[in-house]
Amino acid sequence: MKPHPTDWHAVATTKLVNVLGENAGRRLMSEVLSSIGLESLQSAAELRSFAEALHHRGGFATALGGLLSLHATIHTV
Amino acid sequence: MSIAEQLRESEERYRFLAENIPVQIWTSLPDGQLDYVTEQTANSFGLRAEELLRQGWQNVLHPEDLPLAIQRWTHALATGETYEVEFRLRHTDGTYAWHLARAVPQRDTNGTIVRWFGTNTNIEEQREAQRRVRALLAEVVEQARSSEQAVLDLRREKLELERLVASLEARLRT
Repeated sequence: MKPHPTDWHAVATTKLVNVLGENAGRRLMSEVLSSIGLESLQSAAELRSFAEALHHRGGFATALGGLLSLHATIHTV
Repeated sequence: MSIAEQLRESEERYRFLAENIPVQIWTSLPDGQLDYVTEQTANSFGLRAEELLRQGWQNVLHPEDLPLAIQRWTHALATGETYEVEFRLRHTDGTYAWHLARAVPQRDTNGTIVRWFGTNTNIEEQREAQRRVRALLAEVVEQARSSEQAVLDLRREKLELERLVASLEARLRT
């Protein structure tokens, strides 16, 4: 099911799992959250930080970071 | 070196190659009956070579992929064309992995098929990469639609505000 656009944590989790698969998606979610010192994403600003951290990882993560950054922007203007 | 020694050395070289390259190697008779698999191939299913030869591929092939594999194999045997199909094989740990199966016929001087030489190559990583690319494209499409809708909503709100401002200005003038 598609999460609400401002359920930032669910939006990020869903996109990562959809693209990378259940295990790899959740593992990356956990790793990146930990790298930015967060346990979950509660705001657009936190989603942007998460997206930025993803962006530096390369490959699929970079593309997902771009999508999540755009998502955070269009749902906060 | 005698001919017998050369032959033995050649066989040993082949066996070493067949047992150590990361590909499943098998051969079958012209009627399709499996008559050789490497030990390495059988071991990846938790079987011994003679067990796999007796059972054939059907017990380790994903049930959903079986009809297509049979159809392609039957077609290859009937026509002599190269056999090629992708299917999932169940490994010892119970998980399935996608493989690309290919087999070519060996013919005698009269052109009659005397044996089929086949390989199964694990393509799980390539399949997963393809699935991820498709999923990422779907996410990009979804994001593009969502972004377009957001822009349209913003434009509509801007026009409404402009109309409101114009209306207020007109009221102020009167």
